[in-house]
Amino acid sequence: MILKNKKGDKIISVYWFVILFIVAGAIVYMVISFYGEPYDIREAEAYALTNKAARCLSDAGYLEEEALSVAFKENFVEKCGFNFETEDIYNWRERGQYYIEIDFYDFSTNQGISTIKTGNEALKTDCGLKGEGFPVCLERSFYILDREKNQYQIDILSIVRKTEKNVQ
Amino acid sequence: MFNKKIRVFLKDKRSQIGETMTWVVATVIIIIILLISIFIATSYLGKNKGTDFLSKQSDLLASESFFAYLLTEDSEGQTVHEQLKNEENLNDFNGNLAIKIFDGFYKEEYPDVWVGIIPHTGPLTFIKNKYFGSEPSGIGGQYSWSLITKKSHISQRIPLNENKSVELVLTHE
Repeated sequence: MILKNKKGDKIISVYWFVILFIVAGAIVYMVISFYGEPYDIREAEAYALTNKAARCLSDAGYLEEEALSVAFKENFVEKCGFNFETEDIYNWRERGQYYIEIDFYDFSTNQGISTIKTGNEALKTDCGLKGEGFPVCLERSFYILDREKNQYQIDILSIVRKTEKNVQ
Repeated sequence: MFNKKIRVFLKDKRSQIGETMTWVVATVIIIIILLISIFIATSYLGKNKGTDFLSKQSDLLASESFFAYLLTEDSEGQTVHEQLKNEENLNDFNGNLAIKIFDGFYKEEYPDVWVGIIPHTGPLTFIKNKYFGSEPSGIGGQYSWSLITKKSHISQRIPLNENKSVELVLTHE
């Protein structure tokens, strides 16, 4: 009887070890699957681009005086301090991963006045498509006056691709 | 003597079966709990992480629009800020302009948009206007409600004089 009890104790010990390994394995799997998923920060990046563009266009609450000039349009990236450089992986350098388009409208008539485009325009074709492999597109608008109190609507479209690192 | 031995043996066997069944059930429960935890960790928590920092505390574009709105002049050259300072509530010019700007630009992003006047006297109250209604949803001095409905607010308040301010409130989930 004593021998039998000892055998039973051994089986219970093995059982406990098996349970311990199953629980530990499950916890490790949960941690790996949680932290293994990438953070998708492309929406935050798109908001940051939009805010930076808006800050650049606004001068003490009024539209930057040069904003509608050809010189500003041509040197937009330098004037506003954008940096569209990316890591040299997944062929990102050849295919730009960012795009910004700024459209100026007359607020009263809704007529287009000027457009500033910079970055990889080809990304625009993927906007509106739903799915994880597509870039994040953010389109926002704001209202602004120039110093002569003319009213404008400014639409900013910011696109961030970088799907390889943000989506798995 | 022999019968007694058999009885003890059977009793022992029965208690062993009972104990084994307890552990089998316990094992099944442990495995079910683990499977549920794994499912939640992989399919829900893992996919939705990293977006909390996007919950907005301010909106630069809406603020820019609000400042420009207050600087807009009517046909007599009076700014919206001056009009609101001198009048009791929104008028047709600044009310319709506010609708065009804030409902037009931000209604898709924020389900509830409110622009209006707030008196400085007493507890937080919103002066009803015909363009945006009585008060932003989830506020009205009852902040606990906004906690229950998980709504949060972005607001921009500009003082008009010592008695009142004009406020833009954008409510989002």
